Amino acid sequence: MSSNQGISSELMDLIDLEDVEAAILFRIDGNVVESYFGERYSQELLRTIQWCKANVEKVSLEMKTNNLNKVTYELNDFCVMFFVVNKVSILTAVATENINLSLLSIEAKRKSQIISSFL
Amino acid sequence: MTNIDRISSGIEGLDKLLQGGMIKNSINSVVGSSGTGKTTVALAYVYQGLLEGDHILYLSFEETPSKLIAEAESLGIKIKEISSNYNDLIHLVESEKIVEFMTNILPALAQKLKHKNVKHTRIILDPLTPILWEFPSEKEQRKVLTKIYHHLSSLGTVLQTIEEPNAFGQTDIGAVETRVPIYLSDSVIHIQNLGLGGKYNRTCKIIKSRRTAHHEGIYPLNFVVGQGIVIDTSSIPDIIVEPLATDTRYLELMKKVKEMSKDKDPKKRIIAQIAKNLLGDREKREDTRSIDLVNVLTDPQVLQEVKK
Repeated sequence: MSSNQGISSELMDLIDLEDVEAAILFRIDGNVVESYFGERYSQELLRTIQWCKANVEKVSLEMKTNNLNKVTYELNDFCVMFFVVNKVSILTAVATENINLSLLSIEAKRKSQIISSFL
Repeated sequence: MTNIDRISSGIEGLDKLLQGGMIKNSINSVVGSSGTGKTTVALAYVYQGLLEGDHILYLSFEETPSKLIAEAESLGIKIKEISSNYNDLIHLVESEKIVEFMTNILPALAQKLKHKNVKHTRIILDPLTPILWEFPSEKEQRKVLTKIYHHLSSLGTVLQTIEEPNAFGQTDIGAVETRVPIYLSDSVIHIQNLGLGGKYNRTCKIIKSRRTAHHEGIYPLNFVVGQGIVIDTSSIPDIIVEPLATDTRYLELMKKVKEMSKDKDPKKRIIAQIAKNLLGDREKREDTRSIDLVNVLTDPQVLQEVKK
Protein backbone atom coordinates (compact mmCIF):
# COMPACT_ATOMS: atom_id res chain seq x y z
CA MET A 1 0.00 0.00 0.00
CA SER A 2 1.39 3.43 -0.96
CA SER A 3 1.59 6.15 1.66
CA ASN A 4 -1.16 8.10 -0.10
CA GLN A 5 -3.48 5.11 -0.09
CA GLY A 6 -2.63 4.49 3.55
CA ILE A 7 -3.48 8.05 4.56
CA SER A 8 -6.72 7.96 2.54
CA SER A 9 -7.78 4.73 4.16
CA GLU A 10 -7.15 6.08 7.69
CA LEU A 11 -9.13 9.25 6.98
CA MET A 12 -11.97 7.20 5.52
CA ASP A 13 -12.00 5.15 8.72
CA LEU A 14 -12.27 8.29 10.79
CA ILE A 15 -15.21 9.52 8.71
CA ASP A 16 -17.00 6.25 9.40
CA LEU A 17 -17.25 7.20 13.06
CA GLU A 18 -20.74 8.40 13.90
CA ASP A 19 -21.14 12.20 13.78
CA VAL A 20 -17.75 12.81 12.16
CA GLU A 21 -18.35 15.05 9.12
CA ALA A 22 -14.82 15.72 7.88
CA ALA A 23 -11.34 14.32 8.31
CA ILE A 24 -8.56 16.42 6.85
CA LEU A 25 -4.80 16.11 6.91
CA PHE A 26 -3.43 19.67 6.77
CA ARG A 27 0.07 20.84 6.18
CA ILE A 28 0.79 23.44 8.88
CA ASP A 29 0.73 26.20 6.23
CA GLY A 30 -2.95 25.44 5.58
CA ASN A 31 -2.63 23.31 2.45
CA VAL A 32 -4.71 20.16 2.34
CA VAL A 33 -2.75 16.93 1.92
CA GLU A 34 -5.79 14.65 1.91
CA SER A 35 -9.41 15.01 2.93
CA TYR A 36 -12.61 13.03 3.32
CA PHE A 37 -16.10 14.29 3.97
CA GLY A 38 -19.45 12.89 4.98
CA GLU A 39 -22.02 12.39 2.23
CA ARG A 40 -24.24 15.37 3.02
CA TYR A 41 -23.15 18.79 1.70
CA SER A 42 -23.43 21.51 4.31
CA GLN A 43 -22.59 25.19 3.97
CA GLU A 44 -22.04 25.45 7.73
CA LEU A 45 -19.49 22.64 7.48
CA LEU A 46 -17.81 24.45 4.59
CA ARG A 47 -17.49 27.58 6.71
CA THR A 48 -16.01 25.54 9.53
CA ILE A 49 -13.50 23.84 7.24
CA GLN A 50 -12.53 27.20 5.77
CA TRP A 51 -11.96 28.43 9.31
CA CYS A 52 -9.74 25.39 9.96
CA LYS A 53 -7.74 26.05 6.79
CA ALA A 54 -7.30 29.71 7.67
CA ASN A 55 -6.27 28.99 11.25
CA VAL A 56 -4.29 25.78 11.08
CA GLU A 57 -0.99 27.67 10.97
CA LYS A 58 -1.87 29.67 14.09
CA VAL A 59 -3.16 26.59 15.89
CA SER A 60 -0.09 24.54 15.05
CA LEU A 61 2.19 27.31 16.32
CA GLU A 62 0.21 27.46 19.54
CA MET A 63 0.41 23.69 19.92
CA LYS A 64 4.14 23.71 19.30
CA THR A 65 4.79 26.58 21.72
CA ASN A 66 2.77 25.00 24.51
CA ASN A 67 3.75 21.42 23.73
CA LEU A 68 0.13 20.36 23.10
CA ASN A 69 -0.83 17.17 21.28
CA LYS A 70 -4.51 17.94 20.91
CA VAL A 71 -6.67 21.04 20.71
CA THR A 72 -10.47 21.13 20.54
CA TYR A 73 -12.65 24.01 19.39
CA GLU A 74 -16.41 24.34 19.29
CA LEU A 75 -17.81 26.60 16.58
CA ASN A 76 -20.77 26.83 14.17
CA ASP A 77 -22.45 23.84 15.89
CA PHE A 78 -19.40 21.76 15.13
CA CYS A 79 -16.60 20.37 17.21
CA VAL A 80 -13.15 20.65 15.66
CA MET A 81 -10.25 18.56 16.92
CA PHE A 82 -6.65 19.16 15.86
CA PHE A 83 -4.05 16.44 16.43
CA VAL A 84 -0.33 16.76 15.81
CA VAL A 85 0.85 14.17 13.30
CA ASN A 86 4.43 15.35 12.88
CA LYS A 87 6.34 18.64 12.66
CA VAL A 88 4.68 19.67 9.42
CA SER A 89 1.21 18.13 9.45
CA ILE A 90 -1.91 18.19 11.54
CA LEU A 91 -4.89 15.87 11.50
CA THR A 92 -8.23 17.66 11.79
CA ALA A 93 -11.53 16.01 12.58
CA VAL A 94 -14.75 17.98 12.31
CA ALA A 95 -17.79 16.47 14.00
CA THR A 96 -21.28 17.53 15.00
CA GLU A 97 -21.81 18.61 18.59
CA ASN A 98 -23.36 15.22 19.44
CA ILE A 99 -20.00 13.48 19.04
CA ASN A 100 -18.58 11.37 21.79
CA LEU A 101 -15.45 13.46 22.35
CA SER A 102 -13.52 10.78 24.23
CA LEU A 103 -14.05 8.26 21.47
CA LEU A 104 -13.07 10.78 18.80
CA SER A 105 -10.01 11.74 20.79
CA ILE A 106 -8.82 8.14 21.11
CA GLU A 107 -9.49 7.38 17.45
CA ALA A 108 -7.91 10.57 16.13
CA LYS A 109 -4.82 10.01 18.27
CA ARG A 110 -4.50 6.46 16.94
CA LYS A 111 -5.01 7.64 13.35
CA SER A 112 -2.48 10.43 13.70
CA GLN A 113 0.13 7.92 14.87
CA ILE A 114 -0.60 5.61 11.94
CA ILE A 115 -0.56 8.50 9.46
CA SER A 116 2.75 9.73 10.84
CA SER A 117 4.24 6.33 9.99
CA PHE A 118 3.25 6.90 6.34
CA LEU A 119 4.90 10.31 6.12
CA MET B 1 -39.56 40.01 -10.45
CA THR B 2 -41.24 37.09 -12.18
CA ASN B 3 -41.96 38.63 -15.58
CA ILE B 4 -38.36 39.33 -16.57
CA ASP B 5 -37.20 37.75 -19.82
CA ARG B 6 -34.38 35.33 -19.03
CA ILE B 7 -32.06 33.05 -20.98
CA SER B 8 -30.50 29.78 -19.91
CA SER B 9 -26.84 29.93 -18.95
CA GLY B 10 -26.20 26.37 -20.13
CA ILE B 11 -24.75 25.48 -16.72
CA GLU B 12 -26.74 22.92 -14.78
CA GLY B 13 -27.71 24.45 -11.45
CA LEU B 14 -26.80 28.04 -12.29
CA ASP B 15 -30.23 28.88 -13.70
CA LYS B 16 -31.77 27.63 -10.45
CA LEU B 17 -29.47 29.89 -8.41
CA LEU B 18 -30.42 32.83 -10.65
CA GLN B 19 -34.14 32.06 -10.40
CA GLY B 20 -34.49 31.06 -14.04
CA GLY B 21 -31.34 32.20 -15.81
CA MET B 22 -29.58 35.36 -16.87
CA ILE B 23 -31.69 38.42 -17.62
CA LYS B 24 -31.79 39.20 -21.33
CA ASN B 25 -29.55 42.08 -22.37
CA SER B 26 -27.73 42.13 -19.06
CA ILE B 27 -24.01 42.16 -18.21
CA ASN B 28 -22.93 39.03 -16.36
CA SER B 29 -19.51 38.45 -14.86
CA VAL B 30 -17.83 35.19 -13.94
CA VAL B 31 -15.02 35.93 -11.49
CA GLY B 32 -12.43 33.37 -10.46
CA SER B 33 -8.71 32.75 -10.24
CA SER B 34 -6.77 30.73 -12.83
CA GLY B 35 -8.05 27.23 -13.44
CA THR B 36 -11.38 27.63 -11.71
CA GLY B 37 -13.42 27.06 -14.89
CA LYS B 38 -14.32 30.53 -16.15
CA THR B 39 -13.70 29.69 -19.81
CA THR B 40 -15.62 26.44 -19.43
CA VAL B 41 -18.61 28.45 -18.17
CA ALA B 42 -18.26 30.69 -21.23
CA LEU B 43 -18.08 27.72 -23.59
CA ALA B 44 -21.16 26.12 -22.05
CA TYR B 45 -22.93 29.46 -22.46
CA VAL B 46 -21.98 29.46 -26.16
CA TYR B 47 -23.19 25.88 -26.59
CA GLN B 48 -26.54 26.67 -25.01
CA GLY B 49 -26.85 29.69 -27.29
CA LEU B 50 -26.20 27.56 -30.36
CA LEU B 51 -28.85 25.08 -29.21
CA GLU B 52 -31.33 27.92 -28.85
CA GLY B 53 -30.46 29.44 -32.23
CA ASP B 54 -28.85 32.57 -30.81
CA HIS B 55 -26.22 34.56 -32.62
CA ILE B 56 -22.80 34.20 -30.96
CA LEU B 57 -20.05 36.78 -30.66
CA TYR B 58 -17.16 35.30 -28.65
CA LEU B 59 -14.27 37.73 -28.22
CA SER B 60 -11.23 35.95 -26.92
CA PHE B 61 -8.36 38.11 -25.72
CA GLU B 62 -5.94 35.28 -25.05
CA GLU B 63 -6.75 31.90 -26.56
CA THR B 64 -7.06 31.04 -30.23
CA PRO B 65 -10.43 29.71 -31.47
CA SER B 66 -8.96 26.26 -32.17
CA LYS B 67 -7.59 26.01 -28.61
CA LEU B 68 -10.93 27.02 -27.12
CA ILE B 69 -12.80 24.51 -29.25
CA ALA B 70 -10.33 21.80 -28.23
CA GLU B 71 -10.96 22.71 -24.59
CA ALA B 72 -14.70 22.49 -25.13
CA GLU B 73 -14.37 19.13 -26.90
CA SER B 74 -12.25 17.72 -24.06
CA LEU B 75 -15.16 18.38 -21.70
CA GLY B 76 -17.72 17.02 -24.13
CA ILE B 77 -19.15 20.43 -25.07
CA LYS B 78 -19.74 19.68 -28.72
CA ILE B 79 -19.74 23.15 -30.26
CA LYS B 80 -18.14 21.74 -33.40
CA GLU B 81 -21.08 19.41 -33.98
CA ILE B 82 -23.53 22.30 -34.14
CA SER B 83 -21.35 24.90 -35.78
CA SER B 84 -18.65 23.49 -38.04
CA ASN B 85 -17.21 26.90 -38.82
CA TYR B 86 -16.24 27.98 -35.34
CA ASN B 87 -14.04 30.77 -36.68
CA ASP B 88 -17.26 32.68 -37.30
CA LEU B 89 -18.19 32.39 -33.63
CA ILE B 90 -14.89 32.96 -31.87
CA HIS B 91 -12.68 35.92 -32.66
CA LEU B 92 -9.21 36.37 -31.27
CA VAL B 93 -8.45 39.99 -30.45
CA GLU B 94 -4.70 40.51 -30.29
CA SER B 95 -3.38 42.44 -27.33
CA GLU B 96 -2.02 45.37 -29.38
CA LYS B 97 -5.47 45.89 -30.95
CA ILE B 98 -7.52 45.72 -27.76
CA VAL B 99 -7.95 49.47 -27.26
CA GLU B 100 -8.86 50.12 -30.89
CA PHE B 101 -11.18 47.13 -30.92
CA MET B 102 -13.03 48.05 -27.78
CA THR B 103 -13.37 51.75 -28.47
CA ASN B 104 -13.98 51.79 -32.24
CA ILE B 105 -14.56 48.42 -33.87
CA LEU B 106 -16.92 46.94 -31.26
CA PRO B 107 -19.45 49.81 -31.25
CA ALA B 108 -19.46 49.71 -35.07
CA LEU B 109 -19.94 45.94 -35.02
CA ALA B 110 -22.81 46.32 -32.56
CA GLN B 111 -24.52 48.79 -34.88
CA LYS B 112 -24.03 46.48 -37.85
CA LEU B 113 -25.54 43.50 -36.04
CA LYS B 114 -28.46 45.62 -34.88
CA HIS B 115 -29.25 46.50 -38.47
CA LYS B 116 -29.05 42.84 -39.46
CA ASN B 117 -32.06 42.20 -37.23
CA VAL B 118 -30.45 39.40 -35.28
CA LYS B 119 -32.98 37.92 -32.79
CA HIS B 120 -30.68 37.63 -29.80
CA THR B 121 -26.91 37.62 -29.45
CA ARG B 122 -24.80 36.03 -26.78
CA ILE B 123 -21.65 38.08 -26.34
CA ILE B 124 -18.65 36.66 -24.53
CA LEU B 125 -15.63 38.66 -23.42
CA ASP B 126 -13.04 36.12 -22.29
CA PRO B 127 -11.20 37.35 -20.30
CA LEU B 128 -11.95 41.00 -19.65
CA THR B 129 -8.75 41.37 -17.61
CA PRO B 130 -6.43 42.43 -20.51
CA ILE B 131 -8.83 45.28 -21.33
CA LEU B 132 -8.64 46.45 -17.72
CA TRP B 133 -4.84 46.41 -17.89
CA GLU B 134 -5.00 48.82 -20.81
CA PHE B 135 -6.84 51.33 -18.62
CA PRO B 136 -5.08 51.33 -15.26
CA SER B 137 -7.09 54.05 -13.54
CA GLU B 138 -10.48 53.10 -12.14
CA LYS B 139 -11.98 56.28 -13.52
CA GLU B 140 -10.86 55.42 -17.03
CA GLN B 141 -11.99 51.81 -16.67
CA ARG B 142 -15.41 52.95 -15.60
CA LYS B 143 -15.69 55.33 -18.55
CA VAL B 144 -14.62 52.77 -21.16
CA LEU B 145 -16.59 49.86 -19.69
CA THR B 146 -19.77 51.90 -19.36
CA LYS B 147 -19.52 52.77 -23.04
CA ILE B 148 -18.81 49.18 -24.09
CA TYR B 149 -21.59 47.75 -21.92
CA HIS B 150 -24.02 50.27 -23.32
CA HIS B 151 -23.35 49.07 -26.88
CA LEU B 152 -23.19 45.39 -26.01
CA SER B 153 -26.27 45.19 -23.82
CA SER B 154 -28.35 46.77 -26.58
CA LEU B 155 -27.16 43.93 -28.79
CA GLY B 156 -27.60 40.95 -26.49
CA THR B 157 -26.68 39.26 -23.25
CA VAL B 158 -23.06 39.60 -22.19
CA LEU B 159 -21.00 37.09 -20.27
CA GLN B 160 -17.52 38.23 -19.33
CA THR B 161 -14.84 36.39 -17.40
CA ILE B 162 -12.62 38.24 -14.94
CA GLU B 163 -9.39 36.95 -13.47
CA GLU B 164 -9.35 37.15 -9.70
CA PRO B 165 -5.92 38.01 -8.28
CA ASN B 166 -4.37 35.12 -6.38
CA ALA B 167 -1.42 35.86 -4.12
CA PHE B 168 0.07 32.89 -2.26
CA GLY B 169 -3.19 30.97 -2.45
CA GLN B 170 -5.27 33.88 -1.14
CA THR B 171 -7.79 35.21 -3.65
CA ASP B 172 -9.20 38.72 -3.45
CA ILE B 173 -12.47 39.50 -5.20
CA GLY B 174 -12.36 43.11 -4.00
CA ALA B 175 -9.00 43.81 -5.70
CA VAL B 176 -8.46 46.84 -7.93
CA GLU B 177 -8.46 44.56 -11.00
CA THR B 178 -12.00 43.33 -10.37
CA ARG B 179 -13.70 46.22 -8.60
CA VAL B 180 -14.97 48.29 -11.54
CA PRO B 181 -16.40 45.48 -13.72
CA ILE B 182 -18.07 43.93 -10.65
CA TYR B 183 -19.59 47.28 -9.77
CA LEU B 184 -20.92 47.76 -13.31
CA SER B 185 -22.17 44.20 -13.86
CA ASP B 186 -25.77 43.17 -13.42
CA SER B 187 -24.82 39.81 -12.02
CA VAL B 188 -21.60 38.40 -10.61
CA ILE B 189 -20.87 34.69 -10.27
CA HIS B 190 -17.86 33.90 -8.11
CA ILE B 191 -16.16 30.56 -8.63
CA GLN B 192 -13.39 29.42 -6.36
CA ASN B 193 -10.99 26.56 -5.97
CA LEU B 194 -10.74 26.28 -2.20
CA GLY B 195 -8.33 23.36 -2.33
CA LEU B 196 -10.19 21.47 0.39
CA GLY B 197 -10.77 18.34 -1.64
CA GLY B 198 -13.94 16.38 -2.38
CA LYS B 199 -17.18 18.27 -2.81
CA TYR B 200 -15.72 21.24 -0.96
CA ASN B 201 -12.95 21.78 -3.50
CA ARG B 202 -14.65 23.99 -6.09
CA THR B 203 -17.52 26.26 -5.19
CA CYS B 204 -19.84 28.78 -6.76
CA LYS B 205 -21.55 31.76 -5.16
CA ILE B 206 -23.75 34.46 -6.64
CA ILE B 207 -22.28 37.71 -5.38
CA LYS B 208 -24.99 39.85 -6.89
CA SER B 209 -27.80 39.65 -9.39
CA ARG B 210 -29.87 42.74 -9.99
CA ARG B 211 -33.65 42.32 -10.16
CA THR B 212 -33.28 38.72 -8.94
CA ALA B 213 -33.94 37.14 -5.56
CA HIS B 214 -30.97 34.85 -6.10
CA HIS B 215 -29.80 32.13 -3.73
CA GLU B 216 -27.18 33.32 -1.26
CA GLY B 217 -25.28 30.15 -0.41
CA ILE B 218 -22.02 28.60 -1.54
CA TYR B 219 -22.63 25.57 -3.75
CA PRO B 220 -20.31 22.75 -4.92
CA LEU B 221 -19.18 22.95 -8.53
CA ASN B 222 -17.84 20.06 -10.58
CA PHE B 223 -16.40 19.48 -14.02
CA VAL B 224 -18.46 16.83 -15.76
CA VAL B 225 -17.59 15.42 -19.17
CA GLY B 226 -20.50 16.05 -21.52
CA GLN B 227 -21.87 18.98 -19.56
CA GLY B 228 -18.82 21.10 -18.83
CA ILE B 229 -19.63 22.46 -15.41
CA VAL B 230 -22.37 21.37 -13.04
CA ILE B 231 -23.40 23.21 -9.89
CA ASP B 232 -24.84 20.99 -7.22
CA THR B 233 -27.98 22.69 -5.94
CA SER B 234 -29.46 19.62 -4.28
CA SER B 235 -29.28 21.37 -0.89
CA ILE B 236 -31.85 23.93 -2.11
CA PRO B 237 -35.47 22.97 -1.40
CA ASP B 238 -37.47 22.52 -4.60
CA ILE B 239 -40.35 24.71 -3.54
CA ILE B 240 -39.42 28.35 -3.92
CA VAL B 241 -41.39 30.77 -1.80
CA GLU B 242 -42.96 33.67 -3.59
CA PRO B 243 -41.47 36.21 -1.18
CA LEU B 244 -43.79 39.18 -1.52
CA ALA B 245 -47.08 37.30 -1.49
CA THR B 246 -46.35 34.94 1.39
CA ASP B 247 -44.45 37.42 3.48
CA THR B 248 -47.51 39.64 3.74
CA ARG B 249 -49.60 36.62 4.69
CA TYR B 250 -46.91 35.50 7.12
CA LEU B 251 -46.77 38.87 8.87
CA GLU B 252 -50.57 39.10 9.09
CA LEU B 253 -50.82 35.60 10.54
CA MET B 254 -48.03 36.25 13.03
CA LYS B 255 -49.91 39.31 14.26
CA LYS B 256 -53.09 37.26 14.61
CA VAL B 257 -51.25 34.47 16.43
CA LYS B 258 -49.62 36.97 18.81
CA GLU B 259 -53.03 38.36 19.73
CA MET B 260 -54.41 34.84 20.20
CA SER B 261 -51.56 33.88 22.51
CA LYS B 262 -52.75 36.61 24.95
CA ASP B 263 -56.35 35.31 24.94
CA LYS B 264 -57.98 34.26 28.21
CA ASP B 265 -59.18 30.98 26.69
CA PRO B 266 -56.44 28.34 27.25
CA LYS B 267 -57.61 26.43 24.12
CA LYS B 268 -56.92 29.50 22.01
CA ARG B 269 -53.52 29.91 23.61
CA ILE B 270 -52.67 26.29 22.76
CA ILE B 271 -53.78 26.81 19.18
CA ALA B 272 -51.67 29.96 19.05
CA GLN B 273 -48.64 27.99 20.21
CA ILE B 274 -49.26 25.29 17.56
CA ALA B 275 -49.68 27.98 14.92
CA LYS B 276 -46.50 29.70 16.02
CA ASN B 277 -44.56 26.43 15.76
CA LEU B 278 -46.04 25.76 12.34
CA LEU B 279 -45.08 29.16 11.03
CA GLY B 280 -41.57 28.73 12.34
CA ASP B 281 -38.68 30.99 11.55
CA ARG B 282 -39.27 33.48 8.79
CA GLU B 283 -35.91 32.80 7.15
CA LYS B 284 -36.17 29.04 7.40
CA ARG B 285 -39.59 28.70 5.77
CA GLU B 286 -39.43 26.38 2.82
CA ASP B 287 -42.94 26.24 1.49
CA THR B 288 -46.37 27.77 1.81
CA ARG B 289 -48.14 24.72 3.25
CA SER B 290 -47.63 25.73 6.90
CA ILE B 291 -49.03 29.19 6.14
CA ASP B 292 -52.17 27.64 4.63
CA LEU B 293 -52.55 25.38 7.66
CA VAL B 294 -52.21 28.26 10.12
CA ASN B 295 -54.70 30.21 8.07
CA VAL B 296 -57.25 27.43 8.67
CA LEU B 297 -56.28 27.09 12.35
CA THR B 298 -56.81 30.75 13.09
CA ASP B 299 -60.04 31.00 11.15
CA PRO B 300 -62.77 32.44 13.44
CA GLN B 301 -65.19 29.65 12.48
CA VAL B 302 -62.70 26.94 13.38
CA LEU B 303 -61.97 28.68 16.67
CA GLN B 304 -65.68 28.81 17.37
CA GLU B 305 -65.92 25.06 16.76
CA VAL B 306 -63.02 24.48 19.15
CA LYS B 307 -64.71 26.56 21.78
CA LYS B 308 -67.89 24.47 21.44
